Amino acid sequence: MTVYKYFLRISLKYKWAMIAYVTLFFVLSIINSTSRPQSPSSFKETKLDISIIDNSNSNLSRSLIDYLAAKNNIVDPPKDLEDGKELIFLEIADAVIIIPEDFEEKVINKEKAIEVYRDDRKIESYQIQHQINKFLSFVNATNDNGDFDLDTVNLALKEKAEVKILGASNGNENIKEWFLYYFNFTSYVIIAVYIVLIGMVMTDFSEANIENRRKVSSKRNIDFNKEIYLGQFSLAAIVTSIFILGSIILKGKYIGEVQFGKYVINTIIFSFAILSLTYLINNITNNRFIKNGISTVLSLGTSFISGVMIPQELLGQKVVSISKFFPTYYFVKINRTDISSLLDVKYEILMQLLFAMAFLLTGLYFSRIKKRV
Amino acid sequence: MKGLMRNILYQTKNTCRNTSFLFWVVIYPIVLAAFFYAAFNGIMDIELEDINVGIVEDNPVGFILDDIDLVNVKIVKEDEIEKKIENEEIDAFIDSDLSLLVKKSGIKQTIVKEVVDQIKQMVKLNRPMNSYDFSIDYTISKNQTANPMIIIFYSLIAMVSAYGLFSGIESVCLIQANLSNVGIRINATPLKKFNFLIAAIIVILILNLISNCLLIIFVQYLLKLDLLYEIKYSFLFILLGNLFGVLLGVLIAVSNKLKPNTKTMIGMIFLLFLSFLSGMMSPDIKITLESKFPILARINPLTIISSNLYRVNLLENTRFVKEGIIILSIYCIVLAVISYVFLRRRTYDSI
Amino acid sequence: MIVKVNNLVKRYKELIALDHFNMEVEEGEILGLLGPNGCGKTTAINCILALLTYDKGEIQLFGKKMTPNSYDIKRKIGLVPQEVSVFDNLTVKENIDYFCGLYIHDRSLRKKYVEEAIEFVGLRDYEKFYPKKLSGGLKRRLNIACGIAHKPKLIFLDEPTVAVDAQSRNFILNGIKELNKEGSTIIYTTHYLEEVEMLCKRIIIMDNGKNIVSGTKEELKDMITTTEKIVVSFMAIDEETERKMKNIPHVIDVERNGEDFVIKFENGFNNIANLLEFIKNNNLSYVKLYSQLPTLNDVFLELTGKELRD
Repeated sequence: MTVYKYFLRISLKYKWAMIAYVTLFFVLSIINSTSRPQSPSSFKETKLDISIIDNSNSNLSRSLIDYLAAKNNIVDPPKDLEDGKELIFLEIADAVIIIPEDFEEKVINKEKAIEVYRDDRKIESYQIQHQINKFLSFVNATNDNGDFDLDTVNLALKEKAEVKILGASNGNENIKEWFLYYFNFTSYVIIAVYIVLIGMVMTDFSEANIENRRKVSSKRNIDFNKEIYLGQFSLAAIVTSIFILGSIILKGKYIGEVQFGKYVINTIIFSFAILSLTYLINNITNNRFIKNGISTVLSLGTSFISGVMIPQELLGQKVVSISKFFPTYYFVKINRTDISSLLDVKYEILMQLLFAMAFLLTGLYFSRIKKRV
Repeated sequence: MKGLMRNILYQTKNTCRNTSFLFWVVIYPIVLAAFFYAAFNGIMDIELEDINVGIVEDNPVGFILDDIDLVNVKIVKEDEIEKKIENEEIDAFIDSDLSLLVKKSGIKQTIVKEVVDQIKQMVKLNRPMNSYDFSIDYTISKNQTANPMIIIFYSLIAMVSAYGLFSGIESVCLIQANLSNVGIRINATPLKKFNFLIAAIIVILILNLISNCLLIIFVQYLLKLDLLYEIKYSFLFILLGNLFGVLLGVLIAVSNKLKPNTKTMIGMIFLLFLSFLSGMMSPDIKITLESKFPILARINPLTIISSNLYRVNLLENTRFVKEGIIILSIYCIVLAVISYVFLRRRTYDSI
Repeated sequence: MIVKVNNLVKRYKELIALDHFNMEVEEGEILGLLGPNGCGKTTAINCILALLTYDKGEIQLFGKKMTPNSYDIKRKIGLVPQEVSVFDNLTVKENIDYFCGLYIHDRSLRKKYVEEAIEFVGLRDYEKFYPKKLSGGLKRRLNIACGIAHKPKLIFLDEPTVAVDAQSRNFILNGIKELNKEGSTIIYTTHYLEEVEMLCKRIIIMDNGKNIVSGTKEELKDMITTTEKIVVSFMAIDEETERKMKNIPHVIDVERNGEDFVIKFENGFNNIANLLEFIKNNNLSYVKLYSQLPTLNDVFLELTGKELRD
């Protein structure tokens, strides 16, 4: 087991770089999980901060403002549009609304009646337009020769459907979300960290002169690869354990409320797939720039298209089909699904394992053809 | 002057012929941009056809629901309701009194709730169906862009503008005698290290700027996202970003005796951390962080760049430009001065 | 025959690196492989070790065909490559242990071998040093240790003394002789002729990928027509006497090299006696006089028209 022993020993020489890198990602992970606001898909309607300039001052405009005020927070109006844009930029307001003088007339004529300036960066800001349109559609439905029945409209709009959620009580939503985001983010971390850290150690082994000595030796190719893989596996196991432990340390007392076992097993399977990918990459190139580049591209890129940063439900169809060519998609899918037993997600587990096999075999293939120039 | 030009020429050749460098600086930002684009492309066109809703046979609102395109109505039996919700055959169950039974509060469920809310409200308003016209959009959207995620591209541009960092590290390592054989040669020549370094910085700036331009062209013309409306200030910030990146790389390389590999790693960590804080992974993070630590937005150089790009291009707001330029320039000067101090006297205790 | 190479051909597109190269090595001998820079020595070795593919030819080691998967043969081979091939991140001892471990799996045996290797190359005081901190000569010693720690029966040394200080070089050469005495067959590449004269019994000279000539040192020197060279310098000599020198019996050529005269004589005659008589007869007194037997450089020069070390 000489090769394995020295793989680890060389890894130790890089320990400070490794520790720094893992710490960075751990910190990012924590920031990520705790900074997530309520996802737009929860039933609690997000209250936005809106700022309104009312140049119409009519019954209709006041009624609209009342309606919006009930559903959102009203902030002080800006001096002008320029100021309004600054409010939005500074996130004091999520949307700025300017009601023109001829508001009522425009509404009656079913013309565009209101200027809305949204915060581009927040999807939720679309809500405002939706709310305004709904209000005005209702108002116009009561149009009786230029008179609106504002009271009835207000009353009607207070109607809401009652919603009952099956199963676990609502209070756990936050925790569930935390774990979901944390473990999804871990997939990003795993790809980024594995490729870079293991790549660092492999640079030493893959150096041409050292490789030559190895090729000339009587160590069988397969034995050498086995020990190298074991070394990589050890490093990978440490990294993954750190992140799994991290979740226990941070939110240990809530483990019972989420399907922790599912998360752990899923992470382990995913780690295995990515380890094989790393093995493959290291057999293709020894250039540290390319390895660093691939690490960032694959980690960030696949995370984006597989639903780590944006919920899978919001991704376009085409994107989803592309992301199915990479294990992250299946990993995230399992995290999102509530399961009663692992068999529920056997397809996704199988896919990840298949990826692992494919990467591994391709890696072995490249290792063999490198033997002879 | 002539010496400088010669230096620049040779360093350019040296750098450009390094294929991995070309990958890192040219291909990689474009690939990343492509990924981002792919991710955000379909984001607002959610296919809503397959929302399955269950009702019992004699639910009076059945016929209203049938009319709605979004929703797929399925008749279910009383005893099957919970089961079908559990195994997601139906996304929600609507009762005769228009109350909802769901398993979780996902997007589909939220949409169904919206629909049911509206039905109830319309019932309460008690006006005939044909008096409603939901197709009208009463709002004039004053936003210039339709794509809410465009800030991520600005963050991407900010991040790659600082990529001169890596080349900066490489170049300095080249002239450090304890790290490279070429360095030993150079230290023995009458060539002032300083001149070599200036030449290196100029080369890296030029190449990195070219890479940035390629990226912007890619995003603007191939992905058809309009990013830059105000060229003058945008370019200024990108240039400052480049300068910052290179000088930071120089400082990292010059200030310690670690191996080049480790220095590159430090640079990467730094850059990733700054990008993350400036919201590259998701705008939410930046927003939340800055509500808790507003000072961050003003000192993180990548945030300064991406925010100002956003401001000048989309908000047409140039009020904060001066502050941004000053802060970035201060960073650059400080980095340059510290690096110079480190470079001045360098004898090695072991080469 | 421990090594048998037959008609080895290797092409790199247009360039022919090895042109029907042949080599035979008997067990227990030290074979010198000589040739100018770029003649294909390292290429030949790399092909023999199955590191490079080749276009034509047969290679047999220990009586069996050599392939990249011939692990049993590889066990018996040691390589000391031209470039120092060690881990920068491991100490001297760790390096030797690692490479020995690629051959010897028994831990206690390996431990013994590693200690012996460290002693053998004289790096006991530097066990815990990193390669970066070693001088060129010591690095080379480490390079050797890594290649022979597993006590191979056949050792390839590719220019092991390049850029090495005199002390280390002597050490290395003596070490190689030791290895040979202990039973290893050695294939030694170099362009330092003094080393070849000292170490090798048989020599193969190659150029442009081809065999030029092979044989023992004596055989080679016999092959050439140039024989004894006598170098003499006088306190004073006039032009006429200079011209008369050419008439000394069996002189082939007289060349002037500053103050020295290099006189080439035909083989097998009592040339020094004749020269001494000439000196006496012409009332000359010499400052310097010595006889120089042909060197391998002379052999090479005559056979290829080139210097061995250009």
